[in-house]
Amino acid sequence: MRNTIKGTFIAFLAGTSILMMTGCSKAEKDYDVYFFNQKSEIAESLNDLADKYEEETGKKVKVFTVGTTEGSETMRSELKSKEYPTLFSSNAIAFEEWKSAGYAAGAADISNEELKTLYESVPDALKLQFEGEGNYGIPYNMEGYGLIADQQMLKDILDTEELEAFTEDYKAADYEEFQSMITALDTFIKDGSSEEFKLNGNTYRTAEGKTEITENLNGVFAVAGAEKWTYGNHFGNYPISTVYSNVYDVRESEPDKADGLKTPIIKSLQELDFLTNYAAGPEGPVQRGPQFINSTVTGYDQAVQTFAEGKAVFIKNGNWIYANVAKVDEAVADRLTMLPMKVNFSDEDISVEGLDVEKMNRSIPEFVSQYYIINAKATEEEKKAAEDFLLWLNTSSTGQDYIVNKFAFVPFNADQGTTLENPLSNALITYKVADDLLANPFDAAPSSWGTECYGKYIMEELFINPDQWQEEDLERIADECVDYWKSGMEEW
Amino acid sequence: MEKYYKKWFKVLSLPAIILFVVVILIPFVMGVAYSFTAWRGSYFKGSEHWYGALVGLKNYVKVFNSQKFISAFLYTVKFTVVAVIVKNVVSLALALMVRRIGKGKGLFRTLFFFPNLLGGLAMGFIWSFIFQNVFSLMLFGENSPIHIPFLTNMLQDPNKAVFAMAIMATWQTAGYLMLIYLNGLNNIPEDLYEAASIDGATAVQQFRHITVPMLMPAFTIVFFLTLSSSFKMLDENLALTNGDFGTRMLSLQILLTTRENTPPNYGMAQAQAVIFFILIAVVSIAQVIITKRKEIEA
Repeated sequence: MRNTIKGTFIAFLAGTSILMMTGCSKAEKDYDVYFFNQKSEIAESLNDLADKYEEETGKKVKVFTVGTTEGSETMRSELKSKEYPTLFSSNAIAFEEWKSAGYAAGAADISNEELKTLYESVPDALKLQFEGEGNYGIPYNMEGYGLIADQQMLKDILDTEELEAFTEDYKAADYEEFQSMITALDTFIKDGSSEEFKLNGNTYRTAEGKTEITENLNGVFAVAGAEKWTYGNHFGNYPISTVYSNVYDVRESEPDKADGLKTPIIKSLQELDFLTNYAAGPEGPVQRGPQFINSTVTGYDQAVQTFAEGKAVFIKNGNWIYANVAKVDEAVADRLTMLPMKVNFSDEDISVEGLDVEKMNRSIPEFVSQYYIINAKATEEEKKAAEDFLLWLNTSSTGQDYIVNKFAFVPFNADQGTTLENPLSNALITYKVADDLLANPFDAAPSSWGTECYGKYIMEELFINPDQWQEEDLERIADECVDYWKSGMEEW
Repeated sequence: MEKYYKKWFKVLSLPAIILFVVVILIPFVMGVAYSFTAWRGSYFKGSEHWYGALVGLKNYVKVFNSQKFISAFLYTVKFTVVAVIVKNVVSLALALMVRRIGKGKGLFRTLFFFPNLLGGLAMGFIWSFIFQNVFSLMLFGENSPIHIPFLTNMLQDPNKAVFAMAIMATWQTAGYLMLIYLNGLNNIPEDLYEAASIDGATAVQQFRHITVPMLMPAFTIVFFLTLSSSFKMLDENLALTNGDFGTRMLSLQILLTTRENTPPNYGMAQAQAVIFFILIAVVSIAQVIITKRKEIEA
């Protein structure tokens, strides 16, 4: 008898502990749509938008936001849980995992005709494809990067009232002209003396003496030397773009195609060697060396601040820095403009069809940061609710108002008529309308090539070296970068 | 009371056993099985089920061919050797000192123990500032009163970084280890020392022939703790160097394997975790056996 009681007790305890651990909630889901969002900037406005949607339609949208670094891990377990997201987000490259695991619904699976049309209306270059086919998502927005400058700063340096001619000539200029402009700016910053330079054959001249805005300048570029990703990924994208046309091209090509990267890599490193001679720090110019990669001197926030305080003419960065610059100086933020980064490649280095140096020199990389994807494993009813919400978000006047004004997104279907508060986003639209665009193939680079190889060598061997970089070192690094790329592909 | 525990032993230990089985044992067994598959996080490449995606020893072969894994392993061993020595020497020295002083004993114990209460990541960022700015610029830099090149830019050189991480890890754990040593020291009967000094033994001789052997149980614990914690160290590695300049250790290597590829190669990360487990298990068991033998001799 005693034993039975004890046995029952053990069984009872075992049962309750297991129940406790599995969390046996059988309650009905208290929402119609569960949206897993991976872009933290829009978290708050997205919650507002969900409330608006509930007011208009009576359907409840649960929004859950996780920032970029831990996003995938969290979403992986959420997708596998009982209360899975019915609508989720992903970038173009992580998407392969969700598609392979059966979570992504394609345009063909969409039952709402209007939404299906929207899926099909996404331009080919922006489609979320799997193995080169179909479209599985609606783009959140367009993002892009280049050389960012304060227009008033440029006006003061050039002693001119309008920049239109300069901008056009700059876009058309080649790399040698770009270099002569940088050295002229450097002389101006150091001695305040006027110097001539040519862009697109036209002569420009830096001002004699400094103004209130130009007198703080410490250098030409604000560089985040301690943050590998700023040059590993975004700068690395330029050499990659000479060989690969987009992320899908990287995924589907044979490993040997990476051999074509060698010369562009060497040239890109030579370009960095040149650019980093003109780096600005928070207190005076910064020289390459151990301090150049000290995160308290050349960290990301520090570099943005150096730029925003008018201590550097340019920063190579994306339209997303608007908010960070505005925190330091709103007036500067509202005067920002984006110019293309110049590259020192020759036409022989470029194997991508339809691309040449002239186009690279006037284009900026633009890409879709995240896509909305409907969970194919959700029930029919849940999918329908998610489709309705997604359509409303992208086509209703409230939804569009939120995308442009609250999320501050450049919509994927933006045209001349679209204007945003962020001048950098408006610049992106200009490039888009002119079709002066590069893709973002670095996103697909194997084994985190940008930060773990290319960027790592730049930081560990080059940025800490104050002398001119030796040809043979650059050659060795380029070889190792190509090898790393190829062996990384084997891990897929 | 003892009777009560004896009678209800099975019942009382049940929650712990269930937890252990659910949280450790089952995931461990699954993990070993998954290390032989093409596991990609959300799915198994080429199949619906894990047993359909078996790839044999392929993941292990890749791991042993991986330059990153091998250099992480060697670096981890290097760090462990340095850290175990430094931590033990410092904590024992602290224990001996704290034991001897009369006034403010409690204050010193608390102060030494204090860093142990702070989290590894937060500490790492603070120390990263100390190494990058306080050490490199203010104290030991070229323009500082005392110029010691070894103590500047410690995070930008794999050999210096071993010591940078050891300094931080020691600072963080020495207080805790000191308490264990202190307890061991307090358990040594005073009359042994008295007898020894009557026989004319010097302080060094007393330390070698009385303190060390009598402290063996404490040594076992401290060695075990420092060895496995150094081998498994992640936070400090991540926050101080993030594995740059060839300072990636095994834990970070496993973590980053899942982040470096898309879709993430969890199968390969899991194979590394299994190797990692075997390494720690072998070292720990060997060490326990050896120190146990020493204890009996003493």
